[in-house]
Amino acid sequence: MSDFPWLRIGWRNLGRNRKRTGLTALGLAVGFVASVFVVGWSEGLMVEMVESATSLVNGQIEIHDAEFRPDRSLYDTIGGREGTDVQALLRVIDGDASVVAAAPRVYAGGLVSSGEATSAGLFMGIDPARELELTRFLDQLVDGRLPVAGQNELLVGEEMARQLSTGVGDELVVVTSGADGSMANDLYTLVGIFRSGLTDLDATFAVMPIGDLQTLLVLPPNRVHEIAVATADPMVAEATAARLADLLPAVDPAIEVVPWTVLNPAMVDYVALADAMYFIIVGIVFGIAIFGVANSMLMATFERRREFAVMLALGATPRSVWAAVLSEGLAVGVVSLALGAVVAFPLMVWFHNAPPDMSRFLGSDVTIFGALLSPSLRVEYNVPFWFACATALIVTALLAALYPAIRAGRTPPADTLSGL
Amino acid sequence: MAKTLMTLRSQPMQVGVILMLALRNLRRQLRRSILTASAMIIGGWLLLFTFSLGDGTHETWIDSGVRMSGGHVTVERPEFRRSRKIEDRLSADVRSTIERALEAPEIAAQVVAQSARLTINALASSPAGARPAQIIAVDPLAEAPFSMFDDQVLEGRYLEPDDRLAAYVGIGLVESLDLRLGSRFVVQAQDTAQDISGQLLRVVGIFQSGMPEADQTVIHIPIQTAGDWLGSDRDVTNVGVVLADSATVASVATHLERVLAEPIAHGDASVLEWRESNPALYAAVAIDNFGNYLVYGILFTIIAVGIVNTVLMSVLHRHREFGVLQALGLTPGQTGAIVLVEGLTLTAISGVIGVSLGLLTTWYFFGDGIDFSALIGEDMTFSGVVIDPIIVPMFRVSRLSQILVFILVIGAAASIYPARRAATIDTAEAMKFER
Amino acid sequence: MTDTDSAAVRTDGLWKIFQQEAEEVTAVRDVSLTIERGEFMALAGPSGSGKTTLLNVIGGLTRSTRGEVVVAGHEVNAMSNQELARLRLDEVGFIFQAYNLLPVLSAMENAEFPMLLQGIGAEERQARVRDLFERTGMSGLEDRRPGKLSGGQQQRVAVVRAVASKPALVLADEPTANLDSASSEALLDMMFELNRDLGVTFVFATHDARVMERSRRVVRIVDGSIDSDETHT
Repeated sequence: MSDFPWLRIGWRNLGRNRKRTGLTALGLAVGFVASVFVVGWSEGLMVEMVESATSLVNGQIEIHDAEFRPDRSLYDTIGGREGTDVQALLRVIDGDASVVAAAPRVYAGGLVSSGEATSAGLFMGIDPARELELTRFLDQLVDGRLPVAGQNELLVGEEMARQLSTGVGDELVVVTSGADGSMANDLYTLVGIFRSGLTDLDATFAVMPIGDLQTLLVLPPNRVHEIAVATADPMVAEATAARLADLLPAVDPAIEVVPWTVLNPAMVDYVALADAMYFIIVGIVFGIAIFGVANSMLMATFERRREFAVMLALGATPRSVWAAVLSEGLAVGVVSLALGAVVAFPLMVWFHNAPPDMSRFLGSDVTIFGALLSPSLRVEYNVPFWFACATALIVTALLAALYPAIRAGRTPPADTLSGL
Repeated sequence: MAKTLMTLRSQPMQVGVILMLALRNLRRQLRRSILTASAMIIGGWLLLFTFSLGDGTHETWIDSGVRMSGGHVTVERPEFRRSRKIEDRLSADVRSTIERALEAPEIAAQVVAQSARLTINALASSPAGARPAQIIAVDPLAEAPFSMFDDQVLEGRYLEPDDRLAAYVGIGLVESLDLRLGSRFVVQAQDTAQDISGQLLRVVGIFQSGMPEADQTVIHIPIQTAGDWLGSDRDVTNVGVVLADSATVASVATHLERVLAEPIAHGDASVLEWRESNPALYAAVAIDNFGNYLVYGILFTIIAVGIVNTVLMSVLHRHREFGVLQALGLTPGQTGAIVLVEGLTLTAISGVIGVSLGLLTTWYFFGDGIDFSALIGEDMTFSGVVIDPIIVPMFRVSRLSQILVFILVIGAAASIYPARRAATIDTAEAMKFER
Repeated sequence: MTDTDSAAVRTDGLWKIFQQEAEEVTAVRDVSLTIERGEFMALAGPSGSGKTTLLNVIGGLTRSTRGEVVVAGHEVNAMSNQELARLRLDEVGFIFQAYNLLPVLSAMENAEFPMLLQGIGAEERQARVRDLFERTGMSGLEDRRPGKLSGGQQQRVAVVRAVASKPALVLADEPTANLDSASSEALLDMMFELNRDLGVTFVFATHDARVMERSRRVVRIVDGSIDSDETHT
């Protein structure tokens, strides 16, 4: 039995009824392409969600005074009221291999007033050069340019500009509470308008150079609220944060080095949930496909009962018959896989590199866990999953062939040959 | 002279014969029919149940989402949406017109809650700092059934009708400003005279919605307080309603637009449906539905391929039989009809069984819903809505008909090619076959 | 020209040419033939002589390439496929060598099938079939499915089916080829009696000597044309 060319027989049998083979293979191939594509799309969404949550404004890791969250009080700067050597910290962080960028920030709440209206907002003091490396929201300004230090220059979001009916070049009044308890106010010039895509952000944030904000708030240069850090891959954020926590010089009061996974645990859970769903999807898809394949194989073996009868009459064992049928099942699986792969891979490459934009259908961006998702059908590659799908496909084909194989092995030789 | 064809009686439809042959053939190939039917039954079951769950989920999202914002339908001045300025509030006349319109019986029957509010942005400050805040000035009695915030009291209480300087504040804002129950703080905003005006408030209640956006910015105050502070009397910026069923939104909105035609024409009012005022939520629902359509489109393609396979194979195996039928006098069209009926019957029966199973499952979970908290957890937010982990599946007749029609179309489409094959056989050729 | 409306079949200059890939195969060559009602005749010839094709053309299963075919007064060439189907239903009965019956129907249902298609009521249909079954010694087999009938019994049911709808003629293509000699004789007897007692027209395509012997008229077909046409009393 071991020399019997099972695979070749199985393969050739496929050619005997090309339509049926084709249709059967089509069912499995569709299942394969579908699983690969749907999961690829879902992962694309996940990646975008994480990316958006972290690289738009926040960064993958945030470093604060341990008391800073959740109140975000003006006084809880890194190093407490004494502040700390911010440049030293930045040097250490920049030295880590996984770190792509790091930038200090200062935050305060206040009012922004144009001649016509007043908006409540959150002021953010940034180091423009470092900030551009870190986040994306300042990359493409809607209008104007980034503010220059020492000139009382300000940047606001698109929504806020609209609410204030203001444009680049206008003068704005800025009002806030200083660290010494006084009400601070000053006149600033709007030099640029940004659009992040997150309406809340665009309506609330006003951005200026960090030194200017510190001055306004009566904070010395060594007091900042946050150092935001970007890593090359969001997935290494946790490990990097742990490393940095060890590497950074001790600061009193204690600081925390927090990766995005801690800041947004719900998002982490959601990604894990989505991962679990993939197996359910694959299970359902192939669970349905198996009926079609089983049916097909039953028909095929029924048609060839005479052959099996001859084989058995000549002395082959039922096991040989099983092998013949199973090898045909395997051959169907292989053909389906080839068909599926030929369709799936170009499709995935296309949707990875040039995904169609769905905004026509949806009209708006979606936020999930506070992250902005743009409605494009971008897919992510996941080679281990593809192998899992391929395995599921072959297993389905074999399982489907199992019952027909057993039935074929039970063909009563004499009765069949005499035409019953 | 040869007789003409008129003497031949015209061809009857033979519906009875076609049905009989089709059904008997299905019966004869029971095993194949059952295998094909099984795939369709599971598909139909999953389809109905998943969409019921989906519709139920979306309804919950929408209900939560609209209660946290302006309602299923909101009426406000057209400019207000963008500007959020107090000048763009509704005039007293327009407001009473709106409130009268909402009393119309057809609308009132759908309305679960109705609230008129003044919504403005302000700066909230305390000795600990200053934060942007969203002030929502309300009539507590109307707002309570409308909003969800009043039920989410952490400490203290919600606003009461006699309150004057009371504020109901989100926990995030309370922590940022280092406040407590009973603390005083100041809010500042631009008043009707275009000056920046301040108002002292006292915290009477603290809430936690689970939504950072709300917890960190929302403050509810009595409408008179806002009026005194900003000089707007008892004016409001928007009037919103929560409806019993989101499917009625379009008709309610249309009705309102009719009644408010005049103010709308003058630019004093506009009627917004929730999908316009909350496009992110609408997009979320659309994406979720789209995901489902995609998955089921795929599943049913696989099922359809299975149907084509089965029906086609049975045609090819009955080549001879079809030849005999045509020799006996059945037309090609009638022969094709037998195959079409077989395919459709198989699909229809298995589809109905599957859908019925789906309905049963939906009904079973209808009362208490399914608790997904193990999977989703308590903290999920999606487009500004906290997702309740308990999902109650929802049955909609429109969805059911959609699904049944879809299944029948699949069955018909899958049977067309095999039916054509059956119809176009060469009768004489077929006689050479054994089967 | 005499009025030949009463003839069961009349062909005039009939040709049937098949296109097979690059070649042309002439199966029927210039056949002019008249078959009267009540005849019991054989189209005799070896396999490949064209007798089956001739039968198929007469029966309206295939269209002729050239030449006229008139069946029960209807000119076949002028008819659409729908009309041909109707013609087959009303005027022609078929008996094939094997696999005549529909497996999903019982013997009675198979036999009454053409009458069902014609719209004849249930009572009359069943009366005719039972009568014919009795005549031919098959009473009691009405509810059996073809799978449970012997080859000879199946052929007899096919004959009843062909005859019950009272067609102008019955065409039988090698009806005895799959049967043993006893069953063949019984089948021929049955058809002979139906022809004698009910006047049913039978045309056989055959190379079986027994069939030729029993036929009153034998038309020999060689290479698609009529070689001889003999009637013996």
